Amino acid sequence: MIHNKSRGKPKEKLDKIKPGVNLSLRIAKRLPNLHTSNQLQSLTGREVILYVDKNFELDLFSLLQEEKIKKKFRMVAEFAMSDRYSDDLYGHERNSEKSKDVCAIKICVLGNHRIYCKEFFASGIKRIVLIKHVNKKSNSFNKELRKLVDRIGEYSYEFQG
Amino acid sequence: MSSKDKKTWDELFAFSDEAEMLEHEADMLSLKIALEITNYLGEKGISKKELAAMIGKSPAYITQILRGDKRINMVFLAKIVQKLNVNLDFRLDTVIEGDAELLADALKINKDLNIATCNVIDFRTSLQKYELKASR
Repeated sequence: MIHNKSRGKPKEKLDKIKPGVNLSLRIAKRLPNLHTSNQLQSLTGREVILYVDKNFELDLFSLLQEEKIKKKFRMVAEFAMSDRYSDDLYGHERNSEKSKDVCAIKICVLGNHRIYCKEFFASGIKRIVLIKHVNKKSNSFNKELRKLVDRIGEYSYEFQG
Repeated sequence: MSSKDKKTWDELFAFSDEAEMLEHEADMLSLKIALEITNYLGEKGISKKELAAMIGKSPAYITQILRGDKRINMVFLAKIVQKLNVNLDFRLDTVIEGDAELLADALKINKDLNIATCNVIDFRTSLQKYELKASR
C-alpha cells in the first residue's frame, strides 16, 4: 500500500513494472480441487485448472474468509471450470490485443468484486491464473482498470503443482 | 504448493457439513436452469428487462436470478414456461459409482461420514439435462 500525500488516503499499488518492460516470469500455484456438483459438464471437453499468482495467494485466501464471498466464488469457479463464459459470472475483460486472454471472476456479493485472471491454453487444458482482486466502485471500465488488464495480459508464468 | 499450504487451502475449500454441500448442489442446479433461460433469451432476442415486464418482476430480480445470486423457485419457472410459451424437460440420470470416491476424496471427509456421503450421491442422481424447448 502507498499513500497519496495530497489526499491522505491509502492507494493500492498495482505493479512496479511498467507495461511491456522487463516482465519477469511469475509463479502460479495450483489451487486444490474444489468439490464440483457435476451439474455443468465441460462445454469443450477441455480440462480447466485453477491457479493463483503466488503474489496474490494471501489476498485471495483472505478474501475467501468471508463466507458469502466464498460461496459465490465456489459457484463461479465451477462455472469457469466448465469452460463457459458469461458476462455476469466469468467473462473476458479485453481492452486491447494485450489483454485478449484476461478474464474476470465476478462476485456481486458484499460489493462488486472482480478477480482478474489470465488464461493459458495447452493441448486439452486451460489454465486460469487468479491474479488480482478489485472491489469496483462503479460499473465503468475506467482507465485504471484498462491499464490493469493490459498489464495482466502481459504476465507469463511458471506453473507449479 | 507446500503440504502445509495445501492443507490450509483444502480446509478453506472443504464443506463444513453435508448441509453446506447440498446448498451448493442446489445453487448449481439453479444456476444450470438460469443458464438455459439466459441462452433461450439470447436466441430469441429477449432482454432481461423485457422478461421482467413479462413475468411481473423487477429487472434487478431477473439479474439476481440469472447470475445465480438468488435460487430459482417453481413459481418463477412456471411463469417462465407460461409467459415464454415453452416446455421445460428434465431427465434423471444415475451418477456413476466411482463418483462417490472422487467426491469423498475432494471433501476430505472421514470414514464415519462415508455412508452419509454415498446416500447423498444416490439422492443426487444428477439432473443432467434441462432443455427449454419452444412448444411450437
